[in-house]
Amino acid sequence: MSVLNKHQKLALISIIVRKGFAEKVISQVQAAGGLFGIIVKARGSMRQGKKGWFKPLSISPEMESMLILTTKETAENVLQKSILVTEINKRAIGAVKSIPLSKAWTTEYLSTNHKEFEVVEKSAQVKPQVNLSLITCVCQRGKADEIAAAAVREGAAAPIIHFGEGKGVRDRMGLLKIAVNPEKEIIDVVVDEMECDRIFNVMVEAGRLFAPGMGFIYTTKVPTGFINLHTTVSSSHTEATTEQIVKAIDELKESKSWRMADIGLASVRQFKRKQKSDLINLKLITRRGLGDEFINTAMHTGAHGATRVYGNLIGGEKLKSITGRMINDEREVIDFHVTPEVVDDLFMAFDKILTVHESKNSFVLEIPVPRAVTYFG
Amino acid sequence: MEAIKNTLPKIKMTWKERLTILKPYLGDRIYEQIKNVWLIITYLILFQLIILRLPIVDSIMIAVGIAIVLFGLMLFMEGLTLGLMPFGETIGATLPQKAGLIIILSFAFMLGLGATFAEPAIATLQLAGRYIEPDSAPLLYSLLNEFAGQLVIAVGVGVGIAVIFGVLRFLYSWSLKVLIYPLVILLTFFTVFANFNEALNPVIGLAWDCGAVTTGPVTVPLVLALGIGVSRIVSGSSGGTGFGIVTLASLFPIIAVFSLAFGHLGLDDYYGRPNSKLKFDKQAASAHVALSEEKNKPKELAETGYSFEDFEKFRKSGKVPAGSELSFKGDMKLDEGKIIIDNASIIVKKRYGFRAKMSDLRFWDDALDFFEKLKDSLIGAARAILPLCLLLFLVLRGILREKIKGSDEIAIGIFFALIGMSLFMLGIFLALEPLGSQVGQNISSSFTAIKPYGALGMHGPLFENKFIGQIAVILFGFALGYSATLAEPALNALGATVEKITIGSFRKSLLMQSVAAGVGIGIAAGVAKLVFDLPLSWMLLPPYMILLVLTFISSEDFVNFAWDSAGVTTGPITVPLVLAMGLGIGQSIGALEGFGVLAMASVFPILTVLIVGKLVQQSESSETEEEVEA
Repeated sequence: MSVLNKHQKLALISIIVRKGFAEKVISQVQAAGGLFGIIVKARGSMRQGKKGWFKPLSISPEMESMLILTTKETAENVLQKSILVTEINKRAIGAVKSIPLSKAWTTEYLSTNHKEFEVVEKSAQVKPQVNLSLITCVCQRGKADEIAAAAVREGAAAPIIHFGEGKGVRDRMGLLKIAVNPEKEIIDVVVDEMECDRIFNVMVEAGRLFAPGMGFIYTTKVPTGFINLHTTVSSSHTEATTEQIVKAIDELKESKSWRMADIGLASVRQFKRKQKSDLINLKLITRRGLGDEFINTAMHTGAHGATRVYGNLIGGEKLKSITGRMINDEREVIDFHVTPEVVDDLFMAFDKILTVHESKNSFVLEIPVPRAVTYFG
Repeated sequence: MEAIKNTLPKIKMTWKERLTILKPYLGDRIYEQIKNVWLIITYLILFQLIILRLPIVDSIMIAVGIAIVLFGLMLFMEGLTLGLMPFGETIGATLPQKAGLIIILSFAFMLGLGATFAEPAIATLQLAGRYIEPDSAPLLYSLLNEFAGQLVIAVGVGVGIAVIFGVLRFLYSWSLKVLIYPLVILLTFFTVFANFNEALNPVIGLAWDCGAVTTGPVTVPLVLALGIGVSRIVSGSSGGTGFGIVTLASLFPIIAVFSLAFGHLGLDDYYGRPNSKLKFDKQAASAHVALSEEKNKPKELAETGYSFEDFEKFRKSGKVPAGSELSFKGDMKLDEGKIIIDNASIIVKKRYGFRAKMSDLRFWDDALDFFEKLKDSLIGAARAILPLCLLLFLVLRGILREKIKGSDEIAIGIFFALIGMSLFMLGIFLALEPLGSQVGQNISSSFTAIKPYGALGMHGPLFENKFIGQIAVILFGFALGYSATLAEPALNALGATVEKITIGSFRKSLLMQSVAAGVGIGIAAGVAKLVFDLPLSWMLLPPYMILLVLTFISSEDFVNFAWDSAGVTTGPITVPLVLAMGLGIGQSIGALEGFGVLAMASVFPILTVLIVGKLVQQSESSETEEEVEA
């Protein structure tokens, strides 16, 4: 008997806001049709002001990143609502984007014939950008700033960084595992689809991600999104102005296709390293503490490793402690990157584990990965 | 079911392959510690060699000791991150889910009490009690001698109550500010009151120092991890995401010590008072006085002045020996542009050579029994770590019935921490203490003539002008505080935790630099207190008043980081160095009571971290405004 229900009509929305604003955003987004979500802590990239002596004193802004599960029907509505609530169309720093799901399984049966939800009126002011790409890079702890800065120098706006944990080889090394640091940083950068390859290559080079043990980088398509994450990394004083000029031309021409002309001129290094296309990012969200079992099983079934981030579930039942205080429903978000053939086997194995543990509010999400680079042995 | 129970096959590796994995691991960890420790070591050695131009006594022992310190710190920090901190976090995250309020709070109290008994620095303060003269500070003398047991219990109860409040704060989302204001106001009141009471006045320094030393290298990481575990689980815990217990654990013991002192003042049963159980032992008292007098007596007269042989030589030859200083006394008058001295006497004094002759340039202190010290260090480390771990283990398995995740790593971590701490303490005995006391005692040579450590004869002041010399010694104090703080393991653990909790926003290096600068300023202020003989309450109260204002206008997160930084600054590296320096300066200016410098070293880091926090916020908000304008 299977505990996982398959859904064809689910969609995934990612929202990034300044620390402390997530709670406010969540309740309103749920009213607009959001179902479940995971909240994870993150940081923006290093901000370095122009004022000389403040430089060493600058710190990166703390952010909160949310993954909201919704139905395809309400996805656009949720996206609009998120933009309005986060006020990123005005001045607030943040980002909202949709991430395509090819399949999704949940332990609860989610009614996709949606109950009533607040319909958000579309306004011209809140027009999401289209045809974006998300570059995600998993690297050793401490290396993220360098790679993120390289992406920003290439024109990307504001990478967001999470702390995660690498799983896989380390657990098979016996006591020697203490010599391998499992701590990873995960960089998320949203870029225009047209610039994706160029920035991707620059990040691969900056992080030497083709070498063994350096990390993993992949792209995901982002059909729609609204990004307002200003950052000025790098020592150049003109960086911000260039960015503004480019943005101004974008607005004048009402598209970014004019930038195409640039690409011929820009020194795009021909990328000859081994890379893989058409992988699947299997995102498993489950109760904190169960993850190791899933990862072990997945590695028997054909996954090479996994990346784990801890977060809290939002939108489930409220949990209370003995003392009557509200308790966070802690979750693990585990990313596996596998070839399409093993997805079904993995799903079967996950289903088995979830049946044994009767874990509620677990999700398995399948996200297509057009392009990935790592050390493929 | 089968698939679930499967564990993954281990990767088989040859020894050579294992070595290639271990090499960068060890290299990184050693480099990390060298980065932390090099500044203080270089400072101490250069100060001795270049500024004082004196060779280092016991140089080989010190070199061996430094290597041991590095290796010990490496193991200890690794043990903290692998074992003690995950252990503490697990229990913190499990308690609110599985236990009732009474169990949580009794555990918190036990942890605080246990941590105090484990902390080696308390014993250091008791040792310092031997130098107190009972007649000049009878209450302080009694607290550190006949009531020493009560003192430790009072401090332990203080820390226990502090951990209780710290945990309650996470459970009920109280702001740390709300707890800080009443505590600091109460402490201010106590201090002002004590300042005007003859018997209580000397206790002020002890009370504040007790607050500073309770939070050491084992307690801080454990309590931090506990707090992070609890606030990870408790929903909407706005209370600074796990920090703050260390702050309370440095404030409550001060109240406890003051209360104990008030109690004995009320009972009138301390040294020399009618209710004292201690018979007023005239003999013992006079012996004590005689001892301290003897200590003050300049024994070096023969070395610093001319000997009888010198005098005979001068009498026969009539030549003033080289390196003499002449001065004249008598009735002087100015007569037609000439100075005329009637009834003159001419005094010929030996001038202090800039270089003192070293009496005995040893390479190894033979009096130091290596294996005895090794045993002491092992016992000390075991006492600091094992009882606390046992408490955690019993609560986790016995009461919470929770399996320990990754128990192999935790066990290794605890083992590393144990060995690391023993080595680290051994290294302190071998290297930092001798080096620190050589340099610490010699520091006051910048404004006064001293007899350097292990030397014969006096060493002239570095600066002719006494005031410049005093300023210089304050600067030396700053450099000592700054560089010693960077090497403190508890601060390193705090920095790493802050970085982890803010997902790398607040970098470890930024926190450590701010705190180290703060400690430097604090030590400098403490030295200024000694050399200019300023009252301690003048030095403590104004910064605390400024702090209250800054705390009020700062964000909750920064308030938590800043106040917690105060507690971690005074650890096993700073304390012996600062005490040696305080003692050296104290001796050279005739002040015997060196308490209070540590308390100063705790106040100023809070100030610097809050100021840095304000600057960061300022630069951030101004940037946001620019964006809006653009």
